[in-house]
Amino acid sequence: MRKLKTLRRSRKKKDLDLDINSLLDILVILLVFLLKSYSASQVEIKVPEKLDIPTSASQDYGHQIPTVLVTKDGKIFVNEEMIAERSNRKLDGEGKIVQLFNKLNEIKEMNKGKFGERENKIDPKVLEKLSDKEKEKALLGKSINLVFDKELDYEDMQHIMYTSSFSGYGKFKLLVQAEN
Amino acid sequence: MKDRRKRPEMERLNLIPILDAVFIFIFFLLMSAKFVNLRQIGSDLPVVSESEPPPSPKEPLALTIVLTKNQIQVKTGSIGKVVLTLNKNEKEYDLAKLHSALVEIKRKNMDESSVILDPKKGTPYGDIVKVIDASRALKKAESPFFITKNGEVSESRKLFPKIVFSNLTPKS
Repeated sequence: MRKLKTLRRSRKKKDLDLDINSLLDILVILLVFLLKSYSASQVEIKVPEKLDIPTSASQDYGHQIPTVLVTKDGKIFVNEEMIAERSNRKLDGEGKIVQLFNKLNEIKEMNKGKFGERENKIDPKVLEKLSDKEKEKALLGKSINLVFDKELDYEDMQHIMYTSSFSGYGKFKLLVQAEN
Repeated sequence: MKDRRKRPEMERLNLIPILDAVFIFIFFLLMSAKFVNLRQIGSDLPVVSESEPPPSPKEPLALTIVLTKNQIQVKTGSIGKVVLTLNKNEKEYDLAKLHSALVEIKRKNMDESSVILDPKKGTPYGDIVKVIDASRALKKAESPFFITKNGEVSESRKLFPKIVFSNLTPKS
């Protein structure tokens, strides 16, 4: 007991002094790298499996809107949910993918208050006067993010774009990786 | 250790509040870090209108790039006069040549801003994006265009930023 008391006393006497210089060094370096990786883009996608997105010099940031993602082997995901594979894809007479068409209509119904109504109120004459950026924002209800694998054939893209245009999503936003 | 104790006590900066702040900062940066930096390329559906286009003295440029698996063709005018044909050599298109041809076309038609893409079946998406990149904007090293509008001179680095896909119907 006495020993413990003396120990405590000695601890009190010595000012607790951690050497944090090395820690600080690491933190500063970490900070630099984290700041570098910071991106102002709003859009975020979860890649379900191996997907190679092409790089581009484009400078425009994306928006958080419905996203269609197609892998190299033709699996179609809408907002992270797989809706069709190449083997069970149903095409109607015009070449629309039935599963995708139904899913997008469902999403359109769900988002009605979010973008749709606001966009319907805009007079085309007013729209003409807006700048490109404002116009893009006003038309978000008709926009759709498209994420494709680098090696995807244009034929597949055609089916996807054709289907989404019939569901009312006619402004395609091709998502690409930024160049370093 | 012994030496240090013997020295007169050094003044030390109180770093604890800064450290606290930095820790919180790192936490938020880690949360917002995105390791795939995404950008977008916009492309609108071609507008179908039944009304007559307003009469204009100039024939529209109608710049069209036809893409196949092994070839690029640049066409202009409503008849589709072929201006440039590039073949793929060793897996790559000659994108630099395409880009300089497009810059030339832009110089002659400064008020045009759209390009029609006509990829054929079998063209991979990666190639389409490369062609889009070559036709949307000037490269960093190139000097910008100077546009005189109402007596004011402005700079522009845009080439043909509006991308339109012409063959969207799968059955065609």
